[in-house]
Amino acid sequence: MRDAPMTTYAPTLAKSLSTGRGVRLRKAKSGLAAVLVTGSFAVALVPLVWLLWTVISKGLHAVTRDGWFTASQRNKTYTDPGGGALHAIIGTAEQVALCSAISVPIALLVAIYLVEYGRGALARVTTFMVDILTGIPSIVAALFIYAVFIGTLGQSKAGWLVSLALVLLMIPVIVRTAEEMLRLVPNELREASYALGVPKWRTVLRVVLPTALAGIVTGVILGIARVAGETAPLLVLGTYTPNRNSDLFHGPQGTLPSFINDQTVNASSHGTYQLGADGKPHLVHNFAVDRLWGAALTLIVIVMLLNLIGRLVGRFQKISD
Amino acid sequence: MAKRIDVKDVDIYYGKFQAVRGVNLTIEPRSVTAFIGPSGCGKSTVLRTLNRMHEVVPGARVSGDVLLDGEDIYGSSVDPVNVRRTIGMVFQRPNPFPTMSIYDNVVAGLKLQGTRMRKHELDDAVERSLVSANLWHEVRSRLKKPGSGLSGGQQQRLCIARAIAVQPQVLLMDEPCSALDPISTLAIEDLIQQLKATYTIVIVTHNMQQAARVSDRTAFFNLAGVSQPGELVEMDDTEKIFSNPSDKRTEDYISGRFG
Amino acid sequence: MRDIYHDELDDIGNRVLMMINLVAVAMQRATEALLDANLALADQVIADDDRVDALRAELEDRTFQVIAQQAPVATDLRVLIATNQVSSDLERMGDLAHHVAKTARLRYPDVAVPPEIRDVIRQMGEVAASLVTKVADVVEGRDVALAQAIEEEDDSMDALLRKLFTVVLSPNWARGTEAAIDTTLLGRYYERYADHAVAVARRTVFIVTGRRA
Repeated sequence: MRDAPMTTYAPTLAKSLSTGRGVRLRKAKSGLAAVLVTGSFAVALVPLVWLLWTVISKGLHAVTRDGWFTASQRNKTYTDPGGGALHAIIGTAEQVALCSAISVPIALLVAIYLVEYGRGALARVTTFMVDILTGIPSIVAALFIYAVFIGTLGQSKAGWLVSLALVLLMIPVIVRTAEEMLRLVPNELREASYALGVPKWRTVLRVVLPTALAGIVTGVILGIARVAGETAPLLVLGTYTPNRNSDLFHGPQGTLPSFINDQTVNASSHGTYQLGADGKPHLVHNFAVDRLWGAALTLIVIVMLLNLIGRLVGRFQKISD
Repeated sequence: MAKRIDVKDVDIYYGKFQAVRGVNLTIEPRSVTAFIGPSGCGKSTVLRTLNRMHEVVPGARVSGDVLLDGEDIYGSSVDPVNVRRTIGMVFQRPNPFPTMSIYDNVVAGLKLQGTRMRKHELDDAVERSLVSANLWHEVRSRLKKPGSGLSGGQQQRLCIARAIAVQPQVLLMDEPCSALDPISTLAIEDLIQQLKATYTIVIVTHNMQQAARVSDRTAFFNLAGVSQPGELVEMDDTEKIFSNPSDKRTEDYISGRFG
Repeated sequence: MRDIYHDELDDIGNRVLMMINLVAVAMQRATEALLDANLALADQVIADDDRVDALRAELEDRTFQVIAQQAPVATDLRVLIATNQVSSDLERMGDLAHHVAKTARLRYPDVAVPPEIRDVIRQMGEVAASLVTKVADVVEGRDVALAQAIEEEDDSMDALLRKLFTVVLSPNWARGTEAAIDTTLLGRYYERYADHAVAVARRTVFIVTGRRA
C-alpha cells in the first residue's frame, strides 16, 4: 500500500541507491578482487593437483597389482615385476607407533604443564625449548641420536633408534597443538569445577582434557603425519631390507620412505631392456619405477586416512561455545 | 545447615595492588544478601573471597578474617578445596560442562570430589537437585542429553542444580541473571526465594531492582575515590536501603545519579 | 544522569508550589469577599477552583507515570508518594475556599458574617493566610523545623474556633438559626483549611526524614 508521500520520496532514494558512478566503480573493484582471489587460489591449487595426479597415475599400476599389500620384496631383484610393500608398511607402522607411544604422553604432560601450571622462569624456558625443537631439521635429530646411541652407547642400527629420532620431531608438533587446544578451553569451565570443590589435578584430568580431546587427537594425528614420511633418520639410523622384519630392536627393517629410496637409487641401473630393431637397447619397462611410485602413493594414502580419522574423532566431541 | 559468615577487617590485594579495603560485614544464615555497586567497585572480588575463589588468580591475597560459623576459612590448616565444598558458587554465564550429559553435569561435583556413591544414590541426588532448581520436569525425560542443548535460563538452573548437589551451606551467585532474558531472570529470582529456606545466599547484581526484589539485606560497595580501593559504604535491611538509606552516596547510586 | 527524570521531578515540585499559591490566593479572596460582600470576587474564587481541581488531576497522573516508568527509590519515591497525598490535601483546601466564597454569594447583598463574629472570622482569615505562606516555605525549602512551628499556629486556629462557638452558643445570640448555621460552617471551613495545611507540612517532614511526623 503506497501513501502519497512515499511516492514522492521513492524515486530520489531509488536513484541514489542503484545508480551513480560510485556504484559502478565499486562493482568493478569488487569484480577485480574476486578475479584475483580466485585466480590465486587456482594457481595455488595447480601444484597440489599436479602432484596428486602424478603420484596416482604413476603409482596406481603397482598398487593394484596382486600382492602389493600382502607380500614383501623378498627374493625379488629390481628388474623383477611384482612383489609388494608389506615389509615397508609394517616397518613404518611399527616405528611410528613406538614413536607415538613415547611422544604423546611426554608432549601432553608438557602441554598441560605449560597451560595449567607453568608460571615464571621454568615455563618460559620450556616454551623456548619447544620452539627450538619445532625447527630442528630431521637430519640433525638423526645425527644426535646416532651420536648418543650408536656412537657413545655402541648400539647398532635398528628400527627403535629411528623411532627415537622421530620422537624429537613429533613432540614439538603435539605440544603446540595440545597447548592451543587446552588454551581454547574456556576458563569458566575450570572455575566451575574449582567452585564445586574439585582439586586442580582432577579438574585438568576430568574436565579440561576431555573438553580439549578432539583437538588434541587432531594434533597427534598431525604429528604422526609429519614423521611418517621423514627419511633422514631412516638413512642414518636404520638399514633397509627387502624382507619382512617385525622386530624393532634387532636387524634391518624396511619402511615406506626407505623402500622408495631403495627403488629410486637402483632404478636407473635396473631397467628391463630389449634389443631393438636398430641394434640398440630400448627400455621396455622399469618395474622399480613402478614400485617407487606405488610406495609413494601408499604413504600419501595412509597419511590421508589418518587425517580423515582425525576429523571424524573431532566431529564426535566438539567444544561447545 | 546454612551457616553464618562474618567478615572482619578484610583487605584484598592482587600482588601489590589493593583492590578492596576494610570490609566488615555479617551474613545471617538462611537469608539473601545482595552486593550492589558500580562497576569495578570490588563487589565480585569480595564475593570470591568468601569461598577462596580469588586465589585462582595468581598473586591474589587476603588479610583479615572470614569466619564461617566462627571458623576462619583462611586458617593455615584449611584446604581451599574443602572451603569450596561448603560454599558453592554460580557464575554470570551459565557454564555446564560441554562433554557431559545433564545427569553427569548435576553429579559432576559429587563424582569429581571422589565420593563413592551407588547408582541409586546418584539418581536420587540428581532428582533432588533438579527439583530444588525447578528444572526437574523440564529435563526428566532427557537426562542423558548434553547439557549444552538447553536454553540459557535452563542452563543456569542446571548450574544451580550442580552447585546444590554437593549440599553446600552457602551459595554465592555472581550476577547469575546478567546473561539471561527477563523471564528466565524472574524464574531464577523465584528460585532464590525458595532456596533461601535451606541455604545462605549472597548475590552480586548490577540490577538494583533485582536486589530490591530478591534480598533481605543489601550491601553497597563503592570506590573510595579515583584510583582508590573499593570499600563497603553501607549495609542494611534492603527495605531501608531503598526507602531511606543513611549514606548520601548510597542514595545517589540507587537513584541513578552516578554509577 | 537521568535528566529527563530529574526535570520531571522538578516540574512536579513546581506544580505543587503553584497549587499552594492558588489555594492561598483563593482563601484570601474568599475571606475578603465574605467580609465585604463582594460578589465579583466571590464568583472569581468559585470559577478559579476548577484550576485547582485540574492541577490535582494532573499531579496524580504525572506522579503515577513517573513511578511506573522510572522505578524511583528512596527520596525520589517519598517525594512522589507525598506529592500525591499533598495534592489531595491542597484540593480540599481549594474546595474549602470555594465553600467560603459560596457562602458569601448566598447571602449577597447582605454580609454573611454578623458583626459579633466579624473580628474572629477576620483573624481566622489571617491565620489561614499566614499558615499557607509558611507551608509554601516548608515545601519549597524542605524545612523540617518550620514544619514543626506550623503545628503551633494551627493551635491558634483551634482556639479561634472555640471562641466562635462560644459566641454562637451564648444565650445572647440574636441572629437566628440561619446565621448560626452559616457561622458554624464558616468556622469549620477555616479550621479544616488549617488542618489540611498542617497535613501538607507533615508530608514534607516525611519526605525529608522518611518517618511519619
